[in-house]
Amino acid sequence: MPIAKNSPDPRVSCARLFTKALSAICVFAWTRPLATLSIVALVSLTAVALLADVVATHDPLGQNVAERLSPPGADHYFGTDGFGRDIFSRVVYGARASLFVGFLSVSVAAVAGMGVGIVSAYSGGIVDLLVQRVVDVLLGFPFLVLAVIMVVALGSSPGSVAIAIALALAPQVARLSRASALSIKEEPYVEAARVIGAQAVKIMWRHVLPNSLPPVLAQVTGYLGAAVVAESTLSFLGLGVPPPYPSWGRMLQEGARHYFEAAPWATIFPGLALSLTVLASALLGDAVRDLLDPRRAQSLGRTPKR
Amino acid sequence: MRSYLALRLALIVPTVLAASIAVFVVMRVLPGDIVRTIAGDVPVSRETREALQEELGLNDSLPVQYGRWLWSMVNGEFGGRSLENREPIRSVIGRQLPVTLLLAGYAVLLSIFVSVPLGVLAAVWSNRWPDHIIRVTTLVGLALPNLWIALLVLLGLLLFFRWSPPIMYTTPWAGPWNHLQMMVWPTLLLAWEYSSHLVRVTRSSMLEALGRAYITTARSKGLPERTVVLRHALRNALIPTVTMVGLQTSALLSGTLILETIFGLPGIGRGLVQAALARDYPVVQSLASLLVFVSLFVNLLVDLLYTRLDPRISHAA
Amino acid sequence: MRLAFLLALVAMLGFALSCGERPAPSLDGNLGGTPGPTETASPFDEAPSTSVASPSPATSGSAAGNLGTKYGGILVLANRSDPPSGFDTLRTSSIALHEVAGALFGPGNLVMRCRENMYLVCPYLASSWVTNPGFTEWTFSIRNDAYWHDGVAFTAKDAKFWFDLAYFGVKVGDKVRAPAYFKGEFGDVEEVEVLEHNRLRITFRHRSPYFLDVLADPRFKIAHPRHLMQKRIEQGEVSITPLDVGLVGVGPFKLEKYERGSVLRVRRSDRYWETTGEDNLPYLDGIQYVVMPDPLAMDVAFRTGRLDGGARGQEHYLTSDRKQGYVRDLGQAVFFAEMDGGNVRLAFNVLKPGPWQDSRVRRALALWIDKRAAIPSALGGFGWTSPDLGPPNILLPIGRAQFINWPKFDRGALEEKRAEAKRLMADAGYAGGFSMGHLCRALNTAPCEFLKDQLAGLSIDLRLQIADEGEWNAGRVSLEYDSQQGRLTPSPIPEGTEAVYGRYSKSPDAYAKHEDPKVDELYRRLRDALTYDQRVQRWAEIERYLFVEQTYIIPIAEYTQVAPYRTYVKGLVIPPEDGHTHTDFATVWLEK
Repeated sequence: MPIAKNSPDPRVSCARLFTKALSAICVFAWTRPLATLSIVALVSLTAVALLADVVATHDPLGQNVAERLSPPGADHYFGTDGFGRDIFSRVVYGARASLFVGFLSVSVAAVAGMGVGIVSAYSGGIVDLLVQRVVDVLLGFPFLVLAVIMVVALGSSPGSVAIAIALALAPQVARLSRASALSIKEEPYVEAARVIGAQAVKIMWRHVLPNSLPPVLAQVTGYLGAAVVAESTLSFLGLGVPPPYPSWGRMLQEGARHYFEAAPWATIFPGLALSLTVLASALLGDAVRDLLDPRRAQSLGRTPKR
Repeated sequence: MRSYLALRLALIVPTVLAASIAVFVVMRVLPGDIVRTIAGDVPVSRETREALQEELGLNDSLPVQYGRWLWSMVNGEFGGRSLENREPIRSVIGRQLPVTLLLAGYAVLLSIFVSVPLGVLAAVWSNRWPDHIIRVTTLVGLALPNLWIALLVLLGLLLFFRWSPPIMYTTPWAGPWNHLQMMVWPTLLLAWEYSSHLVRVTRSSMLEALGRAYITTARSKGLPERTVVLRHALRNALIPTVTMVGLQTSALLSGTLILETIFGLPGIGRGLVQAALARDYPVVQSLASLLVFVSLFVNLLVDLLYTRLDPRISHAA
Repeated sequence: MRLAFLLALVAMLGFALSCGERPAPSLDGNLGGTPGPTETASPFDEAPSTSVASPSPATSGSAAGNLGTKYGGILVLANRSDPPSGFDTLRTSSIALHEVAGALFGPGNLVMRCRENMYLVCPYLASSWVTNPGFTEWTFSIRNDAYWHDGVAFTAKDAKFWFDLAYFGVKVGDKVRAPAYFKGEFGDVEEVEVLEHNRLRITFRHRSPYFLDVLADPRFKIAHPRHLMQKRIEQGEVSITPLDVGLVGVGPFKLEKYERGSVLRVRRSDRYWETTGEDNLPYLDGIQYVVMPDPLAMDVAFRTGRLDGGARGQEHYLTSDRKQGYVRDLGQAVFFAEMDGGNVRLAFNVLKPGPWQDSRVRRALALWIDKRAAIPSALGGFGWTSPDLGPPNILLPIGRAQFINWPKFDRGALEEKRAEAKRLMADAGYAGGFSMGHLCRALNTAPCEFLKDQLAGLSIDLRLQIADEGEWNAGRVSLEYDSQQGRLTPSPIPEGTEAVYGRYSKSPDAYAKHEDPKVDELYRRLRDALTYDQRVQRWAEIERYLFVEQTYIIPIAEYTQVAPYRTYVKGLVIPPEDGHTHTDFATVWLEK
């Protein structure tokens, strides 16, 4: 190999990088099979949701009464429902609604919750006390009541459902991030920054936030599943994403109530999709937590590096 | 410590007040109309509508309406009467709250009973087959949506056993066997999900505790493993568990909603959502405020328990 | 519903002609035998002035011989929810109330729908009545053996009290009690007075030949005891409800215990006056109404034998899919009551600017919609539509050609009608379609989804605006929605339908929103009709104008409401339409 003085041969570097990346992935998959599985599942679900137009075989709203309640087959992979609509396509489009609500609500909850929690912890004193009371008020509401009230006030659209769920999740994130921010506040480097005279906002942004991120992140990834389940619960009550657009929750309700015996597939497949999403998100949450907390990794039985 | 307690207790009242105002405002802002709901399916003439509104006191200014409600909360009326079916809210609470509390209570007790041993077991035998089984079960418990499972259970019992739970609710002392039959499945379902959270938390905090220095010390002292695990590790590992119990209370209360609806239990979860959908303002306000109060109270108790378990946490505000 | 009225008229004709020999109408298998009352209650004759014997509900031909064995037993029924509004029948028509109100307050008020034929009017608390030649004064003779459950006699004064409450409302100081929601149906009442010999006279400001039919609505129940309520109202408790006074009524059953949210128990009232001629009614010892808001829970409970009868109400009526489960589990042990229910309609708001203001567009939609397809999907499998005939519950000797309802219009193959529809749309300039809002009730979105799919064929984007109950009740009377569902509580006479079609005059809250004075005029002409033929003709005019010429509303299909009962429940009176009728269960016995 000639000694590279200027830039190395790009093909070689790329090959090297590629092999490195591949082997890293392989190692990851080998040591953490569940996490890999969950990531794969979530990624493919998201892909399916985004590419719904391509993946779906039929129009999710297209009714064909002659074909109602037909069992899964070549024509309709998951069968049809009481209106003759293709269930596979509805599950695929339903992924869109559910995942949209899920991602949006979790992101909003994470951002809002962390913001509130960190600022409150760092400010301390009266601000902290008052903010915590507000958080307590929100935490005190049973989640569904809050969601019901918000959805009814804001209308029954995917956006408002997402906001309602976010409002229910944010206080928990706020609490969590406040707890970790409180301990980070006492760390020497924060103290040092303060002594130097750095602005509070800067300190929070540069020091407190990144360090309080890991536990919050670990918890929040698990929330995706909770958000999706929450959306389906709201749909069950008739408050979720409005018909006729497919929603897993409503498909469950219709299927179970009206034609469970005549067409069990109408209930089973949306339920499976829902469970898969929740499971994947829970596993991912686990994995992220393991990843970010080395002590945990140690106590999980991995040989610690001595 | 004592001043902290006093402060927390004192703060409960304004917090609940704030919550009730929030609910009040939101409910009044909502589109829709209790008058229409009362009338049912029939169109109402304008004069009927106006007279009804006058009768229900909906024409007074908002602060007056709120004041009236607040006064009745304080003097034991708990918000007056339901707008929809004229029932005194005092009696609504009286009949619904016990059902939900019983269901939640059974679920929590069962969960704690089951989760702590399972969590410890999973931690002690981590990464071996008991741990795997337990982890899978908890994952399943968390993943499967309660409402779906409840429906499947109900249908499964019907299709395979030709059995359904009783349809008329009785208190445990009036009809214990009937009560048991009604409560068993909702309790099991609720407990499965609830204990899944608890087991995971217990397991991970036990693992963390077992990795600590003082455990190694205890082991090297020659103490039997059981004492090491139960006496030393568990005590500290319970803190996150206790926190989780507190955190999940609110979720538990709303989790009873679906189960109450499906299994026909006349509890507060079901009643609250139906009241919200019917725009029954006084009922929603009163019940929501009550639940906020309960939740805050439970959280306070949890925090107190915290300090008993870990004296290092001092709550110096 | 119009066809139902025609059936009624023809039935009466049949009765009158057959001079006492009456055919046994075959309703469901549980009610056979001969019908009872002899009055015909045709609005075109003077009402009978002779006192009539109490109605004798038919007993099943296979009844047990002994009087004793029919008595006894507790009937366990499901109910959709706790009865709302404190059981106040003046405030709400909710089926959750009327399922229970029948037992407590009776199947009617002064009059009721006859059990053998609900299109006839029978005496109830009034034993007879007369009217003056101009139909402006109706005088009812109240029966002398009717009692409230607490032993107090029911007199004309009680009837007046109830009428005043319903029609005029009450004002005490600055507290107001609103009149009943159905007040408008009575027309313009001038006075209600008590006469000697226990009689009540109602005076109208205009001709009211159909007052009996209006009055005999099963929803208008007397639940307000004067001796318990009057004083309290005068003292200021204007919003007192029947529940506040202990649910004292005049019906066959009295309150035993009410556990809210759980179960309402009633037991036989020993003072009840109705008899079958041989037996004193009711047969049952009592009834238990179990609150079951979730239809699935009800299905499960019924199929495992915990219920004797299903709940009534939109979501609880069976769909064909759910019914299969019942048949599979219970086979011959269950029978299904089928009643004609509400309609699925598409009602337009012509006052809102949009393509639907053009009657050609509306007509095109009416021709395009495949009404048959609505039945398996939107109607849950049970229902009927043009050009099929009415509820299977009626068997009367009339030919199909005589139906004057909208089945007579829009006959023909779907393809032809759709071609015509496309042509009309192109004529109106909307070949490319348009967007239209549609107010939809969250409780029942199946018809909305059906319509959305149908209209997509004309490139019309139907934007569904889902509203929950509170919002729906407010929204459907507003002018903000382009279109809405247009359901109607069934009414056997067209005078009850103005609220659906006649926004212009009586009901600003009608489903179809228009300001067309012609509709009003047509109804006025209908009311002024003096002969049967005239009436039929004018009714046909109304329908032609509403459905064909202007198409303010598109009728699509009618629900058949199916409620399950165990076959050991005998003597049930199943009305051909309107599930609110005959919920008193006085004639029911259990054959276990």
